[in-house]
Amino acid sequence: MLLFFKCLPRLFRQANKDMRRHFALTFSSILVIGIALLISMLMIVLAWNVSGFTKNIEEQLVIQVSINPTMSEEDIQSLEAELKDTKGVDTVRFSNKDEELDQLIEDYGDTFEQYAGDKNPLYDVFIIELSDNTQIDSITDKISKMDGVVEATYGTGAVNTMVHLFASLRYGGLIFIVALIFLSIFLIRNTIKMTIQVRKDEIRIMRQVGAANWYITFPFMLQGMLSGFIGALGPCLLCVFGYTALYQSFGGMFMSDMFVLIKPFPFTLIISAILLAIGVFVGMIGSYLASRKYLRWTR
Amino acid sequence: MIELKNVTKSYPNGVHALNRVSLAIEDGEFIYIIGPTGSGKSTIIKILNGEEVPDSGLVLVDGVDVGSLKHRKVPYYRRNIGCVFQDYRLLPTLTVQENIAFALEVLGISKKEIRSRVDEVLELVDLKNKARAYPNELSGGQQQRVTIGRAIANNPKLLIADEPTGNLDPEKSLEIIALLEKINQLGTTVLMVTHDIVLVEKFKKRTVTLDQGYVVKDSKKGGYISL
Repeated sequence: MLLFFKCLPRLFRQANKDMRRHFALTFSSILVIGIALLISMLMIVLAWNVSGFTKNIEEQLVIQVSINPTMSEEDIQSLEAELKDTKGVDTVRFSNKDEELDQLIEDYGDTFEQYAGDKNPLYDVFIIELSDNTQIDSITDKISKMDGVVEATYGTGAVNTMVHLFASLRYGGLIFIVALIFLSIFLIRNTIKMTIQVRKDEIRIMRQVGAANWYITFPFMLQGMLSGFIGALGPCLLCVFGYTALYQSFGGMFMSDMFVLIKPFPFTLIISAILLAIGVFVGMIGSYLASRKYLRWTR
Repeated sequence: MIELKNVTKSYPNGVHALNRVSLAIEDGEFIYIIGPTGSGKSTIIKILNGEEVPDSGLVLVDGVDVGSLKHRKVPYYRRNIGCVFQDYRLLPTLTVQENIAFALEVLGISKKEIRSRVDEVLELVDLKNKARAYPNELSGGQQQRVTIGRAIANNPKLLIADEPTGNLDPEKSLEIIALLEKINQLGTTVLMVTHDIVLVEKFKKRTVTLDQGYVVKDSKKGGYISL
């Protein structure tokens, strides 16, 4: 172990030398890692924010059940009981038409004030929250067929599609990232392979004079890890500064307050750490594969 | 110090390189191994080196069972053995002293120690004035002396020379033999594989003759005996 630390400067020099010797190849593998991680970064930032959006939206997903104004008190109460018994329903809240109008005025402005009092065209409603939002379609259907219900609606179709779109976006991105990471591993492996080929004689002599196996393989591992690290730096910087700038220019939200962006700190730092870890890990795997294949020594 | 007991080795292509070879070499001995091409000389070197594992039999070097040595341990075992090859195997991008230092660097020895040891070795192989030259600026004999210097740099107990004079003219060969003798006198066991009958006749040492994987002659007196 002591020997290992004593040798470290030498091993680093060797890795550095090898990287410069194969600059074009090293550069290309760094570039690929950089691009892969850049895309990963975008995907992670997007997915993270989107899952925030989705949560926001899902929290707002409620079924609004308009009640026929001819219904009596008792009828309304029995309807409420029926709704509460419906499978998948979490809470049921009654809101009369005056409250609804107040809400409308609060949301959209004073122009609705003219409808106050007897002119109020709104219905009394039940606001229903579900325990599982994926059931929302069928439950809404069921409720709209109940007696005394004028109509049952939830958000809009667009919201629903968006939630689904976000989910598939996340999965698609994940697959893409994994593919790119594999590509990076492969490229790093190739770069290291070239280095090993060029240094074949040297390695043979090292073996001859009794260099320990780790002494031979370590510079290659270092080279791969350094490539991964350097490749990750670009996306990291872009993430920290780019996202912060974006956040500020959007004022913390995207288009409407339904899409609240995640605050840049420590969010971007976490992402940077993840990217660096992935870069180093990918580099390590690539060079490990190469050295296992081309430095394997059987006797 | 070196003991081979009934060592047998055959290669996957069906060649029986060694057949029940038994051999004992004492500390500080100088020994020639001679024989025609394909007689198993190189295989003996490879086995002593840890490069090949014998199919059966026992190989003991300084008490170490080389055949059953773990993979991981082979490099450490090799530090006790210096190897010299016919084709030198020097690194062309390094100077003479760097080439010799290289063998010490991989062992993690401190710079100061390396420098003083390299000086010692250069003195011994008589290449002090060529310390900063590159291998391609040297003659064959000089290059071979660098290899020998590299092989003995970490004070191995055993020096294996695989046809060290194979590429050299007779005069330079004498130089090499003289150097090997000098190293031998300093206490290193020298095992030299050679084709060079003239040398074997001139510098009489214990001579082991191999043919088709068998030891056919082991002469303490030395000299070349025609088969």
